[in-house]
Amino acid sequence: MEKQLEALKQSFCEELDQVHRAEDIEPMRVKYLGRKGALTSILRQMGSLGPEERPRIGALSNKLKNFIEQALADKLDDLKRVSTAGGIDVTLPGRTPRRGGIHIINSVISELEDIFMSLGFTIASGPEVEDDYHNFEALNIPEHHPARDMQDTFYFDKGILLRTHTSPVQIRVMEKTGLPVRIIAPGKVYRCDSDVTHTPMFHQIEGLWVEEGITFAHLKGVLYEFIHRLFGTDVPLRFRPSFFPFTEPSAEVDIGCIMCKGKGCRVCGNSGWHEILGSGMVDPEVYKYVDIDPESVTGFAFGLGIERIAMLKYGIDDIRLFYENDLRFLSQFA
Amino acid sequence: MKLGYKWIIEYLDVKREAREAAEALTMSGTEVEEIIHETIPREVVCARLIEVKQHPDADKLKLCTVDTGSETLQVVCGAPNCREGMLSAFAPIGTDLGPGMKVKKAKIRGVESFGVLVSERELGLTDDHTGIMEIEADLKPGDVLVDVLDLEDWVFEINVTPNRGDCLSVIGIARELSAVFGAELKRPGLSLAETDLPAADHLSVEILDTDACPRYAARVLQGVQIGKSPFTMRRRLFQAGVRAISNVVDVTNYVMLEYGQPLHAFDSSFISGNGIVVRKARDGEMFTTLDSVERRLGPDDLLICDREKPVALAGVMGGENSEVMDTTTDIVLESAFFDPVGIRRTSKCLNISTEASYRFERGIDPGIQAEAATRAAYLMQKLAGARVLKGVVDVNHLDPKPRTIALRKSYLSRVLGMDRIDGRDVEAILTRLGFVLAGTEDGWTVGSPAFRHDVTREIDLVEEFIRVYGMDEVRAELPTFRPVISPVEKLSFDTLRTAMCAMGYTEVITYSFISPRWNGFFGDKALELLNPISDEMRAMRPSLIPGLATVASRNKSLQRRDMSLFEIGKCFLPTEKRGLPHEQIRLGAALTGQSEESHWSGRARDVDFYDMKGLAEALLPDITVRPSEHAFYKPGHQADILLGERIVGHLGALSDDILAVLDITDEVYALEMDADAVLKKTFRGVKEIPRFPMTWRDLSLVADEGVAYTDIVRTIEGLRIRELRQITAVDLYTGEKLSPGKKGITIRLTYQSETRTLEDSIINKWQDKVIQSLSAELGIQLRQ
Repeated sequence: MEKQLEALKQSFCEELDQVHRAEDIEPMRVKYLGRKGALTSILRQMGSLGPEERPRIGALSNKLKNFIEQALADKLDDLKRVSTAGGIDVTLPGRTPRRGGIHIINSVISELEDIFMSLGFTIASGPEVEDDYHNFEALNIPEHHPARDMQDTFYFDKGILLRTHTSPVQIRVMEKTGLPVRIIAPGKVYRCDSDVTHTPMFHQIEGLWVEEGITFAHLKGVLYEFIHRLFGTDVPLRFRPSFFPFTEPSAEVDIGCIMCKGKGCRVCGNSGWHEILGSGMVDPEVYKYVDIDPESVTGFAFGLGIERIAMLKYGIDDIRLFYENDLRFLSQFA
Repeated sequence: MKLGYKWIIEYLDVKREAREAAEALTMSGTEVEEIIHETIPREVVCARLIEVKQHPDADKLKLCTVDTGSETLQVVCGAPNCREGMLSAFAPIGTDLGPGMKVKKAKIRGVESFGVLVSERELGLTDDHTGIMEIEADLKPGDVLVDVLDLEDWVFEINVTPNRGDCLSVIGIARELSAVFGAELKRPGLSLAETDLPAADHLSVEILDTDACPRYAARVLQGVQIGKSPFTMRRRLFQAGVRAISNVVDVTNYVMLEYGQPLHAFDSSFISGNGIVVRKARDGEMFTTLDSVERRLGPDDLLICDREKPVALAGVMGGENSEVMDTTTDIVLESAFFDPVGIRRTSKCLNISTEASYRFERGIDPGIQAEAATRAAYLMQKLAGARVLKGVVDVNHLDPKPRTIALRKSYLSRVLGMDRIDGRDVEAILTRLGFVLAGTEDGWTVGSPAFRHDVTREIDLVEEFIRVYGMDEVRAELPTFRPVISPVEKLSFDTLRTAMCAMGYTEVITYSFISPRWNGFFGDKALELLNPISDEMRAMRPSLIPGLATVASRNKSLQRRDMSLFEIGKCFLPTEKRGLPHEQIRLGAALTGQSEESHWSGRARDVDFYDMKGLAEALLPDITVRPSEHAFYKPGHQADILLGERIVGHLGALSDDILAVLDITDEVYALEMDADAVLKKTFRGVKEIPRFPMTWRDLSLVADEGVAYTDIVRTIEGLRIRELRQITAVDLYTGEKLSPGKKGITIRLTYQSETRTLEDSIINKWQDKVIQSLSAELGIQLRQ
């Protein structure tokens, strides 16, 4: 019987450890000390004991009863202390001010602006509704030029359109300010395209640096610095010759896939590379439109898509998410 | 453009892996977007059909006894061309011919078949499924086909930039590789046997518009036998995505892919008067192209005609009336140069793009018409037994003068930033690309080949050099620059965004184009696109409110009740003058639902007008408001926002009509302000902090309902009490305890002097003045 009491104490202690709510204490008391409780049912067997044994067991069971009562009271105190220290329940939820958030595209733009400003660029802007001259002609894209195949343009009237790239800002800046020119121009651009990988409106950043002595080596220097600051210094770059009517030589810049480290995966279409920007030396033809002598200066220009950068940086695979404005998406960047 | 790699290297003295060649093309400016590896299972062997018998239970099936080199097997075959003695391709049991096409032992109509005889299409080699593969080569049964027919290949999907029309051909691509790998370029075979009859006696060519068609060359061929082209030619066409038709037509396509020169074969029995006339179409002239579509032409479209009628739409598509058919024996073969702009216009207007028009638009080699015609005639002679009449009928108005460009070594360095450029590298690269160089004091005089119409300037040569030499060879270098101070505009917008976020607003970006149905709410007709993605995206937004309201509606439908949204973006306001519209950057905001999350301490409050107004006041403490009457807000629940006398924005509760359209049941409050005004907070200098105590006095007033709070403030301010620092409303009461048409308002007046502690007596005097004035001006009484 002594052993029974020991076992009862043991099981009580184990069960008490599992109690975390004040309202669970009373059922415990009933279970162990109640009229039909565990201790009572042991004491009922007292009759079977010899007279010399009875007082000893009686004392033991009394001791156990006191122990249980005390333990339950202490536990109840503990539980109450957690919930109402100093009179209030500090565990109740607080009043959280509503959290807002900057749209992911604008925060990426801001980050890129900071990087380019630290490399000597200032910020310029231009209209989103443009004329044909600034969007095409002065960028050496004459009417009927096959390069216009590359861009499907939204038109208003003859000669008035939504800019298809941020490049017209190059022309507007060179028309207005003297040399040297070191600008970036972030902003919205528009093309008649709408599917999983295209939205009819998206964002670009244009870069332009025109000054005596600027070379292709400088273009590479600036873009290497930019990519390394944005994605880390271990990201490889490659310059792939390409064609843009307003730069020559022209290069597309690829960065090694961040997901697979260049091994080839679904995200990079197994190529190991991501095409992220177009660049080149300003074509001498462009200088003629803005009255700059191409023999006196050289310059480079580049343009990159913000959405592409954001998608790579944050692992987003559907460009439309940016403009559906589902708060469940936007708030992830808050 | 797609081309098989084995075809490309046929013209190149080089042995490189396909992958290496693709990489080299990509890194020199001709991007290989994809490499498709093609091969067939090694189990597929050459087999001879020893015996062919009728299947006992099926009319269309045959029982073939097949010698596979190692054994003799029974095979059931349904191909119409299956006949005794032929060599074909045999796939034994277990051969995997692609997904779901594993060869199994089968019983076909009660007869066992131990493998299959396969078609070219089943092997993925061409799209020919008219019968089992016919092996023309001298092979033995058991020969492993992939080896003996050299079937393993790699198809390059090549993205040619629009300036490089010359690369839309096998030779063009091979030439690029020859420059990168320093290998010799080989030319196709041309050893033709001509008859004594001069072609000129059988065909005259007259060009009526030499601008649109500066060169027209033709050959005359007789006695051709139309048939099927050999396997290799059909496979190469298939790899390039061109359908095989007949030997004559296939040759024209094959040579077009080789040289980039589109060719067209006419059945000369349909050419009246043995004459070709090239002329512009008449306005409204009808012509049926060989795709059986009748097309209405205009005076810009160019036609190839005989003496009576049009026979082809120049540079785009031949005519149905002169197409080569199975019965054709005599042929006029056209190899012309058409003006790229004209072809582009026709192709665009009629909405037809063909392999031919695609190449003409990008500018083909103007020096190659005769050679391409001769190459095609040579192949037709070889494959269709054609007799080729002597000479090329060639009417050529092209200026053959070669362009020369001076290339300075110093210019190369100045643009590229490379100190040491080895002249021999420049010479080797440009020469392999087809340029002719002669040394000068500071560089070279460079003769540009006719096919490189894109190379006209020194800078073009710089690009030619560096793209082949390797852009990776240029070392990256940062230019020197001065540090840049953040422009005010960036700082202000960044600060504004951060402030909006801190106040709990989430930024959205909506499209600049909206549905024209918003026009009704926003007054003036918006600027509209001629070619929108959809009608819902036709109008350039005159306000940010439609976008914000739409986002609110969308998120409500996604079970989001409470929202604080903002957007900073341009609005487009048409101007009277023609030209560009006025673009104004605005800040828009929208509020709906409860002002905070539901909380255990009490019920959260629904947002109202004053939450929205509070945002405006937080951004610009100096604003005032004036009741307004905008169609997009509820009447009586809206106001214009003023800074001084200038209206800088508006706010209010969205009108019931808008809520109905967007299917929103809760109130939505919106605000829109000119961003310029918000950002131009001026700092007026530091004020001294008062040293003497403030005194507050509350006044409980009863006013007519029509009296605005601002009237009370203005009246009190009119008293010009210098020590009165602030007036605020601390309570507003309407209810049963007041007589109808009255409202109770409690205002708190704060007094403070810069020079002394104010005594009660003086404050009481001011309070009396305030009460008197309010009573006199606005009929306001103290509440009893």
